[in-house]
Amino acid sequence: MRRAVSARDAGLRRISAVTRWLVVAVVGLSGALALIASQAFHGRTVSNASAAASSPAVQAPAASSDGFSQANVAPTPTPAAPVVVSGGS
Amino acid sequence: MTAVAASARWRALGTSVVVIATQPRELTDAAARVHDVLDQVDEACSRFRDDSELCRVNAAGGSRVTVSRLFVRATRCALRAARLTDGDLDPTIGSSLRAAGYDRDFAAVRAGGPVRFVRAGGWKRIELDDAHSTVRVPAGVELDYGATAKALAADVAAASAAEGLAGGVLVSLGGDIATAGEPPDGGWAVRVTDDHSSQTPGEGQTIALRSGGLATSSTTVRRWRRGSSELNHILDPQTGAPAEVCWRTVSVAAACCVDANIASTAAIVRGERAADWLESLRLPARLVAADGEVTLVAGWPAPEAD
Repeated sequence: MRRAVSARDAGLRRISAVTRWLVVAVVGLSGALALIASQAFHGRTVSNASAAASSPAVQAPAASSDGFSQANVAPTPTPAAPVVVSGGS
Repeated sequence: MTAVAASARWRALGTSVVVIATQPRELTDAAARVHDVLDQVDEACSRFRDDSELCRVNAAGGSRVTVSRLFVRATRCALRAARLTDGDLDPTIGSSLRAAGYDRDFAAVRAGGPVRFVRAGGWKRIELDDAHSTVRVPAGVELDYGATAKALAADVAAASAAEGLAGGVLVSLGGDIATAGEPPDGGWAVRVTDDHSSQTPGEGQTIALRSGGLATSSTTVRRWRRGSSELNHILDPQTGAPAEVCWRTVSVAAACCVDANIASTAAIVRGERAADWLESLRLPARLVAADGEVTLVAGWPAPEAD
């Protein structure tokens, strides 16, 4: 009788250990897959001329992550006569 | 807010200089300050005068050279440009330019024999000791700060010109523009096009700039022939050859002229990848393809309807 109880308890401990390792493995695998997916599919802003046309005076953010400094205010269209030319030199 | 009132124009650093002040009485002072800054930048960074600090560093045969604080700043600026562009701008491009035939002031560059291309020396080989104001490059490596020094000069000159003066100031060096102080009513009206010196109104767009800097890089200017090759001044540091012309002209607006110029020049080198790159940086830009098709990114405005 005692041997049967011991065998049952040992079996339950093994099942419990296997379950714990399964949970750990599933959580780890999920994290790894999430990391791979986040690196493979970056978030991305799509832009085209029509989008630019609809928001000509968009307020640019103050700084970008890689060190370029952005204008406080994006250029806007103007009917005014130019005072200076920017072109290749 | 004020209206644009007065301007001064002359030539320096091998290109045209325009200084505009919103307050006429401030123009003389502003122009004098710009003049001083440009003289200092020329003495420090010119590749075409033997007494410049840049030429002394290039000729030092690998020895360490003590330089001015301005040259340290210009070197930091050039190294930052290289870092931000993963080497698409490389201040060790000097030997590549020389090999390609751009070995003197551009006005004196003439057609010549067959060309050979030499890749840049490698910007990571520059040793800058900021604390002791020294610079060293290995023997044979030649610096050229053409991609950043003019824009840096514009930023420094505009800040200097506007300091303590009323109103606002715009400084343009060959079409690379820096602004400081209060802009005029409606902003600074700037025409962007292929060639800043063109006397005829070509394709382009007029935009209003309220702060910061604007720069345009183009493969349509500073072109010369070597053998059967037609070359332009924007070289790919990886090959030493002119960048393939995906975009003939790129204009970028940023918080300062240096960053605008770094982005516009690197965009020419980057080719097809440039539009997405500029968009990811959120730098408003106008890119003109070789066939004239225009791409606008990151909030650059569409042209006003006729």
